[in-house]
Amino acid sequence: MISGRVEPTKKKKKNTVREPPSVFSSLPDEIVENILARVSRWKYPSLSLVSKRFHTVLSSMEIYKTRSQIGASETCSYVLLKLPDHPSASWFSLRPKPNNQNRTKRWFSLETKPNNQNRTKRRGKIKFKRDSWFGHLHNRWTLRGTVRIFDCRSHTSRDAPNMTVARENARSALLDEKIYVMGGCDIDKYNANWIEVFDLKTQSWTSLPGKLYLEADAKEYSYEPKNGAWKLVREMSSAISDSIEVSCEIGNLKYGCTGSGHLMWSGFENEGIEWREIKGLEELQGLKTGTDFGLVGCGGQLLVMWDPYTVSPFKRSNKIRYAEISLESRRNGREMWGKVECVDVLTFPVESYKWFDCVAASV
Amino acid sequence: MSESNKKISLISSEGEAFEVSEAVAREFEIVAHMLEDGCSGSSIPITTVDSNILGKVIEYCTKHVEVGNVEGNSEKAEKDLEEFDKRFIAVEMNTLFSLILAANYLNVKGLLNIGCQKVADTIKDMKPEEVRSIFNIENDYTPAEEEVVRKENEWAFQP
Repeated sequence: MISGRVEPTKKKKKNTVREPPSVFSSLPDEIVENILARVSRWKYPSLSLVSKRFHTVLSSMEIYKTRSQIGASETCSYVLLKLPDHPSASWFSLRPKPNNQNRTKRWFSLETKPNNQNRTKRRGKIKFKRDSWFGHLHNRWTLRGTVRIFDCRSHTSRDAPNMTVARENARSALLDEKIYVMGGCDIDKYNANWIEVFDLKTQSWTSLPGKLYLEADAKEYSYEPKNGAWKLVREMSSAISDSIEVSCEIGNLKYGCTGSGHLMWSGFENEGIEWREIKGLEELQGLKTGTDFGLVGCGGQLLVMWDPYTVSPFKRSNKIRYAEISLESRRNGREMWGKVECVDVLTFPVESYKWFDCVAASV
Repeated sequence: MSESNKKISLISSEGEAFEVSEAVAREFEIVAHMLEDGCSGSSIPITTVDSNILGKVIEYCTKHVEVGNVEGNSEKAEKDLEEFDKRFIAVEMNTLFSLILAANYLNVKGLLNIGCQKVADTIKDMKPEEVRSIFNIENDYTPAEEEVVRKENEWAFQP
């Protein structure tokens, strides 16, 4: 696929004049780290070439803790493309073009070496996020539910322990350091394992420890994992026909996109989530035509992505259309207005993709 | 804490004494801890910091204590302080490193922050060779080692 061209660098043999040793050399590592933590992480690859010491400090995971402590973390957005006949999904980072005048973005391919051990045949649309890494659940053809974790600091992926049940199109939620994965498997066969929980601290899967309440099709159910019993708790009065398909959080607000492409927002009220439409986005109507789309919060703005040219699910392109939307709360927080800052197309260096996803992480 | 007019002498690595008010000396967290631990002596040796740098750090702390004591008019005072900070760290790189080292040793957090930020802002758009040049350090990679590091981050060097 993408071959990241490496420009052969002409190394200048510079006869350095003997100067008194640099004060820089006497700085302890913690200070060098404190300095470099304040530089954008996108500059790290280039700065790593300064010296071995730079490289050591910049490749350590400690620097990301420092970035977070001193408030220097950046929001980074990524696109994940599943290519046909390609073993695992490919990651791309998105960032503004240098000397960006019209705010357009470009992609950078992050994984150059395909990992053949993780053949993804089916997609399990599950993603979860914690600090600066993401997990993506891949269902292998064999009956194992495998999970890949992508670390946004080092831009590498690794395997998490397998789930006990292979799943397809399962749902997931992250709550209190635990990831809940629901469904995607035969409920009669896997009654007790219908919901599995991944504990981020112990990095292990267990079946659901307590009772769970689920909302589906305007009905609320309870699930008792001990005997796998479902019970209808109540029926909600109004069913939302155009339901939220993807959502993200910015600050203390939640944003979502409905199946028909309407952008919504909601506060976190005690009584559950009440979605309201973001105003002022009429020009975006009708842009969403495909089946795939994604939504991430990036630097206080919404980044919405569509798979724009899909006519049939079997005919895909290598393009993703995206819009960057700035947000403004009006009428004492009762209304949310969006302003489309730019609409553009990302063209990826692939023939076509099967599906895409997007995520953002604070790194 | 009692508002005292007590004077304290800070002794530089060359043995030069700098007389400062206790409030200023307390800006050096290391000194503040010494005072709290009952170190009653009125002169404190700062053996790792030379007179030039110690003088500057005292200047920084004095200004910050002064502004901190002014009641009201905070917006103007803050702007003023920002301007002062900007001018204060507009020094050549080795002096800046020495200030950072001293701020780290004496535990003057504000100075450590603006110092590190200044260095970061200076190098953020520089090429590796430019960074080496202003930091006065040598490229210790062999061409083969450099290639390995480039490979690690191949994505960033895409055309």
